Amino acid sequence: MAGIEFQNICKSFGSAKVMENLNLTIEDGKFTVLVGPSGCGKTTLLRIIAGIGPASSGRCLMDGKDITDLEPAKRGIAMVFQNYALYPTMNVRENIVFGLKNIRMPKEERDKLVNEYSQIVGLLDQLQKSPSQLSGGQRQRVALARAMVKTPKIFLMDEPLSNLDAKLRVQMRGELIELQKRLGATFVYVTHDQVEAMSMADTIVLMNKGEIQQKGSPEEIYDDPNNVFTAQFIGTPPMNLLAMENGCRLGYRPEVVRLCREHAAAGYCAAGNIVTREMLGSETHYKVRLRDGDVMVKTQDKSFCAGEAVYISVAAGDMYFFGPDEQRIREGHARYRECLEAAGGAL
Amino acid sequence: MKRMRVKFLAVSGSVLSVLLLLGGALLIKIAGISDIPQAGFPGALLGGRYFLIILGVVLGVASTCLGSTAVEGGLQKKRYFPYLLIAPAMVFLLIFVVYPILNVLFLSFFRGSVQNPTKEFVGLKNYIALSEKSQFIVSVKNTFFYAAIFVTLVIVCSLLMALWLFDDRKINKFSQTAVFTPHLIATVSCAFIWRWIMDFNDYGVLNTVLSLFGISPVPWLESSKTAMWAIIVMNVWKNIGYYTLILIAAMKNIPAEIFEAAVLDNASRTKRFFKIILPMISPQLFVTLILLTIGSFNVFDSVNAMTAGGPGSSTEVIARFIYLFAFGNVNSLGLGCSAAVFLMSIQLVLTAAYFKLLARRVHY
Repeated sequence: MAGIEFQNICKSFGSAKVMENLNLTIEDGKFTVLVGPSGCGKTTLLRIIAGIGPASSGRCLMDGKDITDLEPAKRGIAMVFQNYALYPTMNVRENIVFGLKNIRMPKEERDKLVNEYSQIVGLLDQLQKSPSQLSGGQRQRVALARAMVKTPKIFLMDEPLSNLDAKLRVQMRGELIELQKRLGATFVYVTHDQVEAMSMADTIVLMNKGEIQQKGSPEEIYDDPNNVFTAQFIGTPPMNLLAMENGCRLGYRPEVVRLCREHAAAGYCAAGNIVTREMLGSETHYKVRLRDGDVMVKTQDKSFCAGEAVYISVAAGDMYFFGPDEQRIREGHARYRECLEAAGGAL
Repeated sequence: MKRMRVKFLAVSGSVLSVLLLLGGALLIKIAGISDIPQAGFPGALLGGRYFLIILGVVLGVASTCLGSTAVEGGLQKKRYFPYLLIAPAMVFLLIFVVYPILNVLFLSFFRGSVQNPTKEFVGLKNYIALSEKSQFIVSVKNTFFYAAIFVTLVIVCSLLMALWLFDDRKINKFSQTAVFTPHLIATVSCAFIWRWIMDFNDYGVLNTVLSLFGISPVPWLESSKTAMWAIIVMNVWKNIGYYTLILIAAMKNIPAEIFEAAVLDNASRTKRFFKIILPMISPQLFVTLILLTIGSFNVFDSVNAMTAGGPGSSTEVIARFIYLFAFGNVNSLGLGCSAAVFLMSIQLVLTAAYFKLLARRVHY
């Protein structure tokens, strides 16, 4: 088991700088998800941990030891690649056992481990098949078994579920969480899918353009976003943001909005028209056009219909404010009262 | 409506093409290959026999292309249609590949010359004569020696070269072009360059360089001990670039993640080469092996230009034997043909053996 620490990491590809002075600590034994849009540097970080895409400058520590220049194979890590990177000319057993053979593990021990882990991933009867004969989900399991059999201190996963169909993805999500709990190892998981991040992570590290936007538990990230990017990246539909007259922005989550047919007695209330209505079963999404812009509303009330004139209201405690620099204006901030009054949320 | 017209055009085009090819070939057979055409109806047609063949090929290709667009439109239900479309190509192969092979086999049972190939039927006498001819036996030995060394050297060298030039660096791009260049030069030119390099007299480059180290000049091409090796070196030099390029292309097809996974799996460089690279480029290696083997048994131009079989008969090869006896000596066309049949059988047997022995180890 091991924690990882990045110190002043810089990375450039040719003349393009993708990361500058990044500092981050990944806790020991936790499921950490690096999430962000494509090109944000999450895979770059993962490759720095693995040692297959070293940083241009800066240090990477594991358990307090500097591993910046350590060979990939000596780091005690295992990686699951997005396209699995199975060896196509070897069968399933050879794929799983290749890493063990290379460290000259005795045959009996090897066979025991292979049987144990292929049992865990449910591939015991597929060991003689070649990867090309397997389905996407089965290949994914082979890649997992190949990683697990090495009993690494750290598992690195680069979008391992993105090539699976939706149903299988949800199933594998659960299995991965279970696996992490059982092994107790450090998992570093890269994804661009915020749902995956929210559902699996102990800690989310949200990145954009080579910078860490926010790090925290899924609850913190969702309930207490640091900035506009975090607020908009996490949540489906994303947080509604409306410009205010003082240059700041007002935000609120779609599910805290109350839809009604009459003007609310007090607090924030705005008139608008329903533009679209999406019935998703347990909930209904409405897009409401206000004077200041469009907002999404998520509610269990499906009685409204498209084209209807409605009022929306939001409680003061559910409102978020962001300054012109896109940073959050929290309660206690100098401009908080001003924003609250500008939004009409003050009592 | 439009589709019907396309189909009609394709069908009539390929029928016409088949007729033209067959007609042209027949006229060549009747009139010979080098007669001067005469004016008037039959003469002009006889003179245009090559034109008929060319027209047949063009029409065949055009109608096949046209037809293949119609096939996508649902005409594949008609069973004869696809066969009709490939008929021009098949007829072309029949005339220019199958017929010559059978003809060589046929002529090997006769004594005759180019002017009169079937002068006298001699049965298997040509083959018996071959087996008793020391010049032929030496040629076969030399050819096998050449093939074994040449194929091994080219495969090993181009594999090493491909590994060396694999990384994307500017210098490697230049080197790839540089090693490929000899492939673009005509073999005869190469042979002359190497004759100059290996010259025994005081202006030979190789001997001049050696003399700087105090080594006395070696008669590379004039000694029966080194002449064959000199030819092998020249041909290896000429062929490495081409096969290096094929193998580099194959290696570039291996996804980078697989190498990364192997690095994380603790695989040493040797292990990565034997367990990952080699199996993954095995299809291309297999093709390379077959092409090289067949090609090496056909070796002729480099030998003819560098040593003309000498000194003595130390670099005589089968193809030169065929050339000498089919077109050189009097009334020995049949002997040349029987040597050609022998050469073809060796190549067939070797190719079949490769498939039998190695195909299982090739990962597609």
